[in-house]
Amino acid sequence: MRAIKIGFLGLMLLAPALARAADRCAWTDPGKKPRLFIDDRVVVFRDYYPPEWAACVIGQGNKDFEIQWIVGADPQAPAAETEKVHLYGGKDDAPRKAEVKLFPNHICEDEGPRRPSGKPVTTGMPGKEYVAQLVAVRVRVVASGALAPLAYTSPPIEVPCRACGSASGSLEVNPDRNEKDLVLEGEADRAWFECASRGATLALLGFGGQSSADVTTAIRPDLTLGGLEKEFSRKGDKYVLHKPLPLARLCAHGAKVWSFETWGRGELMHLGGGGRSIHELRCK
Amino acid sequence: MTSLRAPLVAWLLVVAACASAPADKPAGTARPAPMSASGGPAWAQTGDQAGADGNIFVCRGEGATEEAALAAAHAICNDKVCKLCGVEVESVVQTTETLKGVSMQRKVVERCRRFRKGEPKVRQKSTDCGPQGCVTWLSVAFSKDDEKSECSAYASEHFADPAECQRLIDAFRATKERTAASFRQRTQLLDDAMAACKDIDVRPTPLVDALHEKLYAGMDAFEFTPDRQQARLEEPFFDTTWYHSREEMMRERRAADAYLTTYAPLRQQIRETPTLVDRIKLARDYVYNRALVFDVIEAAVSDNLDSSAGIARLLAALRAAPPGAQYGSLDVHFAGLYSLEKVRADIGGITQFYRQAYSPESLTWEKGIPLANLFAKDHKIDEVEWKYIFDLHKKNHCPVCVLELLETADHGGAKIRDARFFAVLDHDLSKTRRPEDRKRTVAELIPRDPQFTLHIRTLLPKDLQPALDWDFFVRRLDEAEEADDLAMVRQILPLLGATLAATENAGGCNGLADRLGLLSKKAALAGAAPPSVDDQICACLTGPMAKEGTRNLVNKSELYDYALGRRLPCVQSK
Repeated sequence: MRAIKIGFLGLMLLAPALARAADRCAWTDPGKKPRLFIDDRVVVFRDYYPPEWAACVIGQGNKDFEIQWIVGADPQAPAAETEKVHLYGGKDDAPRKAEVKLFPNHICEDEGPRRPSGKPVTTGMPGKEYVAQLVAVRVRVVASGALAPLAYTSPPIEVPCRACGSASGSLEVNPDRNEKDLVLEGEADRAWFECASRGATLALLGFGGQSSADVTTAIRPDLTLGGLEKEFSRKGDKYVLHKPLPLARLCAHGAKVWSFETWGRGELMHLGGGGRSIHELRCK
Repeated sequence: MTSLRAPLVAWLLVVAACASAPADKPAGTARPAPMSASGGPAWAQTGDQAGADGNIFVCRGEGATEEAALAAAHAICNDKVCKLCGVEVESVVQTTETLKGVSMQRKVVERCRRFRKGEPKVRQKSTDCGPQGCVTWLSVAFSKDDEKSECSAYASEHFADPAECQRLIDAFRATKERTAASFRQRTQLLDDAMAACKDIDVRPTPLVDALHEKLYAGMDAFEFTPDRQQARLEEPFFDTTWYHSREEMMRERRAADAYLTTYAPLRQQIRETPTLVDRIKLARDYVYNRALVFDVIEAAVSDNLDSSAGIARLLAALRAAPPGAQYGSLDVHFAGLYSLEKVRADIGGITQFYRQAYSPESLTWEKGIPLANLFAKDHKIDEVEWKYIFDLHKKNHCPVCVLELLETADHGGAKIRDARFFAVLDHDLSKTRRPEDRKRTVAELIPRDPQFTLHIRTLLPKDLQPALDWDFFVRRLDEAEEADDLAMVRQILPLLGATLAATENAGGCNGLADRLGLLSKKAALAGAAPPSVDDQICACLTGPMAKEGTRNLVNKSELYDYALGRRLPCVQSK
């Protein structure tokens, strides 16, 4: 009984000391807010904390905290990935920065619960555009007790995931069977075409001149055939295009040599392969 | 003794426990006599004598002058008296390196003379000087009465108040904490000890040895001693240690440790100090100095620093503390400067103190940068502040110091700020010749103020304007982005885009697509629209790149994609 009393008294005396110790870990505004952003398809999360506070909580045994990545529309979904982040204490005024990254392979899975299923959008730099589905990613900082000031859940950020896979097919200008005219011929895998043609435009740009050099260096087209995305027709599990380019029309420009390339918004233009084909015409 | 280079003097202490009879051969000079080896005057031939009335000592001394030879002879006689009384004495072998080799001369240490209470009774004296120096012979009487009174005094451990002396030094040893108040307490204890111990000397008696050790232990109690440094270094951190090296540990130690790191030269000075009172005084002066140092540290970190009372306290501490580095630690006046950066109270008195206490020419960048920070803290730079920092920069190159002030927008007028910028620029450019150095000089002086940068760029001489190039702004952009300062990113983006206006050669055009990519990426990160460079795209496609295969050269192909994507006139159908 006496031992219990002494133990209780010890706890009574210790309690205020512990409370004071906890009080000393004063959280001060680090001056910078958490930031979640996308850098080259990598999701980056940065969080800030005051180093003196960190030194204090580390002294109490709290050396790290947990960051959870929530992938998908449901903010209550279980964490797709978790990371432990070490705290670093110090005396300097500048806030400490914690940084974690989530790479696209953790977000843009082809199958399973994290499979992209959002609304398709067209994204990417000109000439490199592609169809993407946006996947919501959130970050949740799990911190309690002395670390509670770090607790945070971010608003979602939308990460573009490729929706269509690799281009499958071709689109090129060839001599027609009559060996006089030219013809634009295209063929594409049905699934890819249906995916890639969403929001896409497709045009054939023709450059006429007197020499190969003229038509390979030219940047202003002499001929633009637009709306080609609507001229594909389904044939089995393929989409095909067969569009004659009458010699007379080309020769009317007075050019002996032509080059052609495809251009457009979205992913469909990649069917053309990206180069220019050169054709010498036999105009009368 | 003449030498053509600085003599290397090594002092070797030889403690000679001498309890020999006066008839023993006394310690004398080991070097041959410079004059003659005749053995001196006739009265000296009889040597030391002991009789019923007491002792007569005959002593021979050498020296460069008559006075030096006499002093040496007196020292030898004192040595003999000390030996007679059974006091431990020290003799010293002094080696002096000369062009001719190394000569050694044994000297009786002057310490023995301190034990002597009475003046020596000289019976006879003879001095003979020649080209080689002087030799003095002395005959000194030391009666039985002298022996009785003096030898008993030497053997005694009595001093003014031995018990109080011991108590005070014990109390010094037991003093806890590392605060200004504790150092004042130590100072008081040692002040009192100096009075109580005033007649004590450093004969190696057990009590004196013990007091000496306690004095050291009292210093060990608050110092960051070599033992504590080693322990800190070995502190475990999981399966390794906190610190990779001693240098790292010492670099990162806290202020209290930094200002209380054992200063070996002081310990050595104490060891070499002949009287206990003087040793105590050295320790006393040290702890008093640390009290003043800790006044500054404590004022700088006090909870009420950000108040007029807190600033007044700090100012008083700064004024009281002696300027400069002491006891191996850095000048405490510059230790707490950074704590003032967040203070909102008026610190005008403090900045004025620094300007008065330290000439700008005496400061280098380590002290200049935090001071410049303080000057800029009120977001205004007056003429006095500017002149001080500019003078510092002129004497001890510190571009960051002047930059700290130039970053501040309010110099009392836009033209004043411009003039100050160009004053520094002209000064720094006068020391550079190579074009790349001149451009670097410009780039390092440009403040992180996009508006000022844009403004000053137009005022720069034509040959220096290219210094603010793509790479310059990309560095600024990366710094801002890394610091998550998106407002700054948005301000820098147009400046970065503007550098592309000068893109008119093939090299610039070849890199233009990559730069457009970077601009777009940074703009997207900052939630801003990328600056328009449409004119440059078309200028490149129709100019330096016109003869390149549009889809053969990747750089042109990508630029052409940009042009098509933006439907620029230069790629529209004919």
